[in-house]
Amino acid sequence: MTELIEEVTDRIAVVFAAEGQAGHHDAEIGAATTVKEFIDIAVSATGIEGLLEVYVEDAEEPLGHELILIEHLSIEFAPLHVAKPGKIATTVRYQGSRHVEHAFRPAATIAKVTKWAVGKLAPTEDPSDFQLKHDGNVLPPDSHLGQAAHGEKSIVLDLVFKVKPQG
Amino acid sequence: MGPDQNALLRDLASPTFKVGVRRGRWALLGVKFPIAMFFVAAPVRLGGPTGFLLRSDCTGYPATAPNSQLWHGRDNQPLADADRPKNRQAGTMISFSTWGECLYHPIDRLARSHWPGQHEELCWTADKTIVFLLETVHGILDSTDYAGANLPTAALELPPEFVARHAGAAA
Repeated sequence: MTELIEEVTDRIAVVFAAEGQAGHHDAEIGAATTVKEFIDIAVSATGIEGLLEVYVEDAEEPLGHELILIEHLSIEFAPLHVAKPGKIATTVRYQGSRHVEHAFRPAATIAKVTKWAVGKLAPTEDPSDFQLKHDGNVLPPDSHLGQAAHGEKSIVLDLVFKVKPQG
Repeated sequence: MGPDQNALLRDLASPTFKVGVRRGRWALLGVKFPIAMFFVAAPVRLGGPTGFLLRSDCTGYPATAPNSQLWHGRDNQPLADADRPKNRQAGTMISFSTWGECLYHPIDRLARSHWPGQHEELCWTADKTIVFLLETVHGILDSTDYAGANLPTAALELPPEFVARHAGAAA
């Protein structure tokens, strides 16, 4: 019985997003699962070939393949992100005539990109009053840039005030 | 169990819904189909509540948009205007006004027709999930326009029908 309990508690559930997909996936990892082994799990779960990098949310660098994944999970919950190699060239347009550009990692949250864009384009405003749109759709602030980019390594977004429909 | 109930339960069990729960954005308090009761977190404001109960009628989900209202849990009725989220001018935030038995927002089944041909990106479509509704309500609160609310503690209690279901589940 004790061995059974140890075996069950030895595994941990993680949630991850995959570059090119809007939703999330569940996975179980063990105490010794490496990043490389987790990539294999992610490829199997998503059906996306070529996924080679695993990121902690908003991290600037991917985790090394030899690392033990469980040792690098965030203390606060945040989905991992599994992506193809490379940054996403991001253009944010504002008020028609202005735009800024930056290359973000696919694990960057939309909230992070929004905060950066507001800082560049409307620095006196509060980022919580803005949202980013892609192809006319509002992007959830907690989602990852790689989830919005449909697997591409470039994306054009529009920075707009949150719409408050009036009567 | 009908296809609308099946679809709702499927989406409530999805990893994307659970991501919002684990981030503390919202919580599912119970389902007594077609009604789902949620807690939606609000940003910290001096004297303000941790969040609000949102009662959603999900009849016809997902082909038909949910119809939702902020709810007083103990009284088991729509939240009184005085208790609703306030804007910086001390008025009720327009999306949470008492215009009707709904959110005053294009996402709501009852309010949608109030903006014909407008705000398409804010509207419910059949490919949306319950996460879209919860992100929308959370996003309305998560702005500088939200100034807090005088919400009684009792308003966050679980309505009786959901308490009973939880007790049954525990047994």
